[in-house]
Amino acid sequence: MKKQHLLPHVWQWVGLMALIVGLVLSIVIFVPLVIRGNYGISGRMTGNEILGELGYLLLLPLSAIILCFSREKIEDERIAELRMKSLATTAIIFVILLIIAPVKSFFIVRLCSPSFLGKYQLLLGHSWWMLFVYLLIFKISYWVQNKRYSDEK
Amino acid sequence: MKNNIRVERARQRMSQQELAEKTGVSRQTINAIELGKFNPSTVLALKMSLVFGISVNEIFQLEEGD
Repeated sequence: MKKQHLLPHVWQWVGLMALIVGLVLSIVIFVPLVIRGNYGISGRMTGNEILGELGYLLLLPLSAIILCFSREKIEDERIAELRMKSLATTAIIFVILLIIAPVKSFFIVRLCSPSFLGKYQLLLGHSWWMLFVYLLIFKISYWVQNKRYSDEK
Repeated sequence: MKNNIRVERARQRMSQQELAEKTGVSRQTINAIELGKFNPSTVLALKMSLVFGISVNEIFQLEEGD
């Protein structure tokens, strides 16, 4: 089998920890700040804004990168194929989103207020969401396949 | 593609886990191959033939439509 350039399995735990801390900081601090419209209104950054950004804009994408590029316990060719299929599915989803983006923008710009647009862009307008979509597809199919093939028939 | 892995395993009294360890894959992968749900690479097929001591052709056979 070809050598795979992935991080050791133990990095999954590092990624998981970063994901948990990032999620907590995002849910508790960053998302409420943005939704209430209290984000970036003062001239300089507050402690909450720094913590929120640390969680949402640094730890979340970092955890996604670590989780995407670290090995499973046994990383064999079936898992490699599963990774390729998940990547292909993610690419298809994002090409579809790219195709419908002008239509989506047309409605969002006309129907939503500029402040909503700003919040939407700040929370969901990041390309690293693609990593989480890939991760979700890969982990679900990994779990389903392992469950399906775990019984020795 | 059909295969005789289960038959060969039974003949050599080998569990899926043992075969998995000898070929460097997971037990689930061996099960998926036995069930015909996953086609192994040439390298894995050759490793299996080495473990069983028979040729690849005796383990894997093409079916109609392959």
